Amino acid sequence: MGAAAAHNAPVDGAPPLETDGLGRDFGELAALRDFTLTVAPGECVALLGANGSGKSTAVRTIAGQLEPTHGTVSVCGHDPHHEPDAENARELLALVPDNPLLYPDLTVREHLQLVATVHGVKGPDVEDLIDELLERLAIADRQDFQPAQLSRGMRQKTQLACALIRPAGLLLLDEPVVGLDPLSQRLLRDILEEAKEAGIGVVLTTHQLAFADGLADRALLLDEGRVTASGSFAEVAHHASQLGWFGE
Amino acid sequence: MTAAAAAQRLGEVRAWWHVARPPKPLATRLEAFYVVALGVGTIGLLLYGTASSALAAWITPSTLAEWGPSVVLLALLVAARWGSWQGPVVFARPDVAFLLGGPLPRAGLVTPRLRWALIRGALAGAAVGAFVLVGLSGRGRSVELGSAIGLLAGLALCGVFAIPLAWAVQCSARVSRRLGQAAPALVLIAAGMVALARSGPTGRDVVLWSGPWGWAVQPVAGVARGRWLAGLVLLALATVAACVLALRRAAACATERHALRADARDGASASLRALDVRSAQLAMRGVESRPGRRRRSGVRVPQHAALAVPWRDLSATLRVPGRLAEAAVLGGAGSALALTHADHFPSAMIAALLTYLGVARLLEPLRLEVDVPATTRTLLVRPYGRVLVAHIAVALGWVGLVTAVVAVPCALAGSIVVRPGALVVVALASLPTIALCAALSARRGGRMPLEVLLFASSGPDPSGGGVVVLLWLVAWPAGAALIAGGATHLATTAHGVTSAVLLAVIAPFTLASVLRGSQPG
Repeated sequence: MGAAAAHNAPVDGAPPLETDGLGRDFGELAALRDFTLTVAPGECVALLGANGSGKSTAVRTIAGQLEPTHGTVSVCGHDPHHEPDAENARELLALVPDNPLLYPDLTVREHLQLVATVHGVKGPDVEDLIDELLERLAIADRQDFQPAQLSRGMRQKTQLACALIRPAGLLLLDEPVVGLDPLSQRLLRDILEEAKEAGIGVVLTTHQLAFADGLADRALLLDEGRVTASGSFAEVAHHASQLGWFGE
Repeated sequence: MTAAAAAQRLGEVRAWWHVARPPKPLATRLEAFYVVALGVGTIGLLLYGTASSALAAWITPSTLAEWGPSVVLLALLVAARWGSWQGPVVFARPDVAFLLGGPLPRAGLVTPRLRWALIRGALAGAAVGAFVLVGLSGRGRSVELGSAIGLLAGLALCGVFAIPLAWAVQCSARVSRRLGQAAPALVLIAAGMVALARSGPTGRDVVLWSGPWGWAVQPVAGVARGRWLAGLVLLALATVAACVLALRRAAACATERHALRADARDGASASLRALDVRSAQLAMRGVESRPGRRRRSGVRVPQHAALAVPWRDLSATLRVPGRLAEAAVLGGAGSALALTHADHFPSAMIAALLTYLGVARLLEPLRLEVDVPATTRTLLVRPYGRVLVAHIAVALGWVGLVTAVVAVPCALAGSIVVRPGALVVVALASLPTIALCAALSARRGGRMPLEVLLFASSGPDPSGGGVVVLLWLVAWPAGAALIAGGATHLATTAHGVTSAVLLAVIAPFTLASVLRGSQPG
């Protein structure tokens, strides 16, 4: 993760993520209901479920992109939905969305420079840090390319690099392996293991049980916006498989 | 993070942008302004005489006093409603992710854009003021300099006032919803204000002092200087208060609402570049749509297959009763105008156009059919063209009923222009023509065909294709206005009833056969 220290420390004793009765309605459709979750430092939680079960809604509501209809969210002790405290929450959470959103006229390197500037990552080492991250994610040779010149996987890696260039207390990843080749998936797993070791809380959604197996300490199974099972990853994955959601 | 540190970081981000993507030099930016100013100035000078005398017929101190406050009120309503779909501060989609999603002060990101919007509002208001002054000073009339400046200032202030309104709507789903609900009432109030202003000096005074919409037009509405100056001071105070409140609430708009607007703008821009108006409209409509379970319409499923499409239309229409009301208002206004003023051909055409707009409000199911023609192939056995024809039944029935209802008070008041029975029959007989024209327009799906685009770009059109595109856009409304307006007008002439009936009967058969021959895609 980013070299420079975060300007905003988490509130003392506050976990990376705490949600209480979180809910989100779209009109009459309850996309997320009574979602309560606490993620400890260095813990990885996987959100599992079929399409439309509420995984992405949960992630986007935690990240402050969707306003909750009910309940509360706290990221390292800060509320991502109420300014100006939301600034502190946004400082401490890094989001990798399912659909990479990049500036069409900025290169890969410029995106990383922008994120570093936005998050106050300064100093003479920043360019070295960018080089190191680009090398590690195997996109160094595309650093001067614009998004239109990149494949889906490369854009996903760029978005991932943007999340990793800055300090964070909570890492949110919405379907992070979509578009990534097996080698890149393995690399992402290693990166997330390192993040856990650094005490960062990780929440990810995925349909690929193999990716989360061994990485996620806990899992939640969502169905029609409700958490229908929670526990160790193995237990929940077994339950989900029994329901036939992930095939044999 | 302290406010000072946050502001400093925002400054650093701006400095980075400045280096990464330097803005165009001032001379380049001024050049564009110069070209536009030169063009507008040249064309303005050429057209001034014609425009001035044409506008002078409509814009007089008297019409301004009667209609001005209502028009300004409606303009403010439109500006506020604009906040439901876009609003004064719209970011690019990556800005939402990288800047609004970052730890930067929200107010610092929004305030400069809001200030620019206020300036643009002032300029737009002043431009409208200049336009009004051109009309006021036409036909040898003169406008006192002080009054002219007062009007410019009043409308510029109204332009500014509109921005905080739109911002309040942009920031809050609840305000947006309430405004949507209140809009029909506000339109009725505007209509009532016209009636009140026309009722006499007292009514006119009430309207001119009823709020910012009245204060703005006072300088040229026959109000004494001292009084209109007081009105302008009130308007200025209200505008300043609204602006201060808006700037204080610069951070109030949630990321979600910014993201929705950014998505809509990107989608609509892409669609408009391809001249696909329907997709642009759908992109904008997505901002305030509330997906979820829909309540049942309560209409019984028909036993006969031929009634499947009308049943589907009726069910869809009853779920959005606002559309029925809009269709009733537009159709009723059109019918009333046709029955009372059909002897004047332009009025007859306007009447047909109003009715056309009313019918078009109820053709949304047909548009959805055109959006996804595969649905028709999959769910309905009947040929595509016949399905499209069946879609006009509900709209036709509703507007027909409204026309019949409107005819009763018109007949009782003795205001039907000639031969009441014959004119009502012709007005009703013209409705299928209007509905079919609206359906044929909707069938195009708001997408300009490639052949039209090619003809527009390479044809003999001296405007570079603009006239061709315009003709394509207005073809069916104009057709409805000409045929239906022509039929009702003919019915008012001495021996025209037979011709009118023939026209009203033959035209629908021709149009229906064209619509029946439609193919998907």
